[in-house]
Order: sequence, then structure tokens, then C-alpha cells
Amino acid sequence: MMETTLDSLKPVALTVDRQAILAYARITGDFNPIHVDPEFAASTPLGGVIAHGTLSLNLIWQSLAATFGSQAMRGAAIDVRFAKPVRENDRVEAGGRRSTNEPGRFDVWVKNQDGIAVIEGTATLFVTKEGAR
Amino acid sequence: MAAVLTFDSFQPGASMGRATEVIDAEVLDAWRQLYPWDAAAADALPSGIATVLLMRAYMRILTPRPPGNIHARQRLELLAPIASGEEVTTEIECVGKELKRERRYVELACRASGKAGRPLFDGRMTIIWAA
Repeated sequence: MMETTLDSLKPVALTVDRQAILAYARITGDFNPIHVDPEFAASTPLGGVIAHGTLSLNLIWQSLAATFGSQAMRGAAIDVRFAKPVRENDRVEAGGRRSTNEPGRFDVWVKNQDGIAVIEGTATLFVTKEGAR
Repeated sequence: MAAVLTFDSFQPGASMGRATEVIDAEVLDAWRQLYPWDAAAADALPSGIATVLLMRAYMRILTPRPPGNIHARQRLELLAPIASGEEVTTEIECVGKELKRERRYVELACRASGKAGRPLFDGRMTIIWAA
């Protein structure tokens, strides 16, 4: 497991199994058949069920909170692209590293078990004189 | 029964509506079962609940939808912690739409406020609309 420092986010991982997808559908009220109906999903260009993008996106918020504490989330912002679908039974892990471009900014991602980024983008935390908390 | 919202229905600059709700114990329990490590400050909800409120508002406001829409991009800024039991109103506005490589992209802006109208979060979501 990656060592956590203030320059890298503490990783947070989840296995996105059928149970997790259905639980998240109930949490959000999002029963889009592409997530919950294998027969429908198989008929689409995606070729099968994909998990809700935000199911995995939440891991980035959790990675930030685990690294900097929940108090640091005030004023935090995320800007991400859902780059690849997350398939049923994928193991995904969120992480990130401090960007060299701008204080308080982190390059963030969620990667699957093959190391492929399924979500990628940036997160920005409240910036103090000392830098991002 | 209302007609399905199609790409042609979207008018950039038009409010799509607003939805108000409180995250109840059932939803919060389900969240904690799914993400048991996710702890927040004692009197606040986990940060990711903002995403849940956004998605629940999207589900309620933009309906009925064609099956197979795909969430392509998300921006979200947390302006203040959401308190346990706080009533949250989320407004969604269409801010753009574009046909690109035979895909229908819809751009939605959202703004959520809580008790006494205090701002809670702002966001943008890009959806590839199915029809």
C-alpha cells in the first residue's frame, strides 16, 4: 500500500460487487438500467452492467478526508472525468498526489485492479499561507 | 404521463427545477454499510453525501429520462458542511448542450442551499443523453 504523506493521498479502496451497485442505487435513487439490469446493459454499446460513476467518485472525497481530516473538506472542490466504466466486481482504489502547478491542488484518480484510471481529474483544498491543509 | 426528456427538450439557460429533502437515517445507514470507514465530524454528514443529494435531485427533477444516460464529468465544490437532519434544496439548470461525435452532451449546473438559505455546494455535471 502506498505510504501516506501530505504530498500523496491516503488510498481508499472498494470492491464494486453487485451488492454494492444495488446498495448505491437505493442510496441515490438511481436505478438506471445500465447499472441494475444486466439484460438491458448487455444490449448497449457498453456491453454489460457498469457501476454508477459517483459510487467510485465518493472514494476520492473519502481519500481526501482520510488524509487531511473531514474539517479540511470545507471549500474543497473536485473536477473529474469518468474516463472508463467500472464493471461489476472491479476492485477500485482512489488516490492522488499534490500537483506541482498550483498550491492546494491535487491530481486525483480512481484506478481499477488493472491500474487503469476509471476516474481522473483534480481536487483543490482550502489554501493557507502554509499551503493546502 | 409526462413525455420522456429528450436532448431536444433541453434549453440552455433554463432552470430544470428544484428538489428539497433531508438525508434520512435509512440512506445514511446504507451509506455507512457501503463505506464503513467514512467518518465525518460529529454534527455533519460525510462529504460524499453532497454527491448523493445532487444525484437524488437529478433523479427527481429530470424525469422521465430515457434509459442509458451516462455520467461523463462532474465538478463539485463543497461550500459548507451539511448538518445531520438539515433540509437541503438543490436547483438544477441546463447551461449547455452539444452534439459531438454523434453523442448528445448535456451540461447541468446545480446549486444547493440549506437552513436559512446558506449555500452548501455548487456543481456541474455533464451527461451523455441517450435519446
